[in-house]
Amino acid sequence: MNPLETRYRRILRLLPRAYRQRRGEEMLGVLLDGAAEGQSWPRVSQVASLAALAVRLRVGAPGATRRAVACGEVLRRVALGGLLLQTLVYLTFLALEVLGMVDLLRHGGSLQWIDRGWLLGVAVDGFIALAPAGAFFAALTGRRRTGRVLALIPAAMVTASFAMAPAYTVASDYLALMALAYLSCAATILGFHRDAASVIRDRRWRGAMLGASALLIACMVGGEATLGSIYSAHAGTTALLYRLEHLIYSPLGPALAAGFGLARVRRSSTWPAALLLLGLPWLFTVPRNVVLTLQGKADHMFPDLFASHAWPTSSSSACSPSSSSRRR
Amino acid sequence: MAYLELECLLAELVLAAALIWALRRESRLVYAS
Repeated sequence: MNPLETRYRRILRLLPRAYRQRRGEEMLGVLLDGAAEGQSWPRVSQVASLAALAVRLRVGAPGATRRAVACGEVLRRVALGGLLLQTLVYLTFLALEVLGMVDLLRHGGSLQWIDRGWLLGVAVDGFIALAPAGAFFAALTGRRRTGRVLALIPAAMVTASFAMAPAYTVASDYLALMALAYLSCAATILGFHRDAASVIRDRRWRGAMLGASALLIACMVGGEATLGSIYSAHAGTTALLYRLEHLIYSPLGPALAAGFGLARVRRSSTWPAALLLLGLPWLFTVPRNVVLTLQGKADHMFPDLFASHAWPTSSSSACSPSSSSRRR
Repeated sequence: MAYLELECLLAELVLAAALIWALRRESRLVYAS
């Protein structure tokens, strides 16, 4: 056995055993036939390609084991579920920014208060809300590479936020959003690889995304229109924002997830596994909130959503004499 | 709202139990076939 063959055999060990036993010798033959005269090391591209195949085979590429196929099914659900949740979170941010502007103008505010930073915030939130939604529909419709690239955007954004304010990120519920971004990005890359099933025909995914987004926007716009403000401090008579918070980030979510997982137990382990993985990012909020509760300072999930920079009176520079009366 | 974290933990425990249940069921079915 020459050194090249030994090295190829070593690399082929990356492949799952069952696949290697079935196809290993044939692949080795092809690799050796394609080797140049005097070549003693495998080419980098071959190593990368075999490593990628090894990963794809473990998440359900053709020729994979039953367990690997099931793993791919779980990852695709985690990816789509994570992208859906991220879309809802960023849509909430976006709606709060936009409705904050509407609110300001409706309550006698000046256009001058809507500064460049605020507009930039709206643009960034809009862009980040569109990225996971785009990745979601790209993955559903078989545009897997587009889906993988778009799923990277929210992950890159949370990384940038972390780089800008690491102490805040670690000490706040933003950590859950960060973990969710990484989880769904990894699940999209692993689950929607090029050998994955091309198009997901299940219409319930589309229905869930469109229905949940429409409900979220309808709640917020409806609240603004009928109750006068999305901000409790402005509405005076209502704490709509807190009701919305209860609605969107309420215990209803985990309860529904657990109920759905239990309902699917008899069919397969796919949904319980996917929902268990999707629930993990939220556990990042537990230690912080346990400490706060023990200190008697029970906190909200994503509290900064409500003390947002979107509201000009929250920064002293933007305060005007009339703002104190509006705040009542 | 402080209960949300507790609820998340409980949901994860329920889902973990559901997963173990489903996996055991599936392995029984595989052996039976």
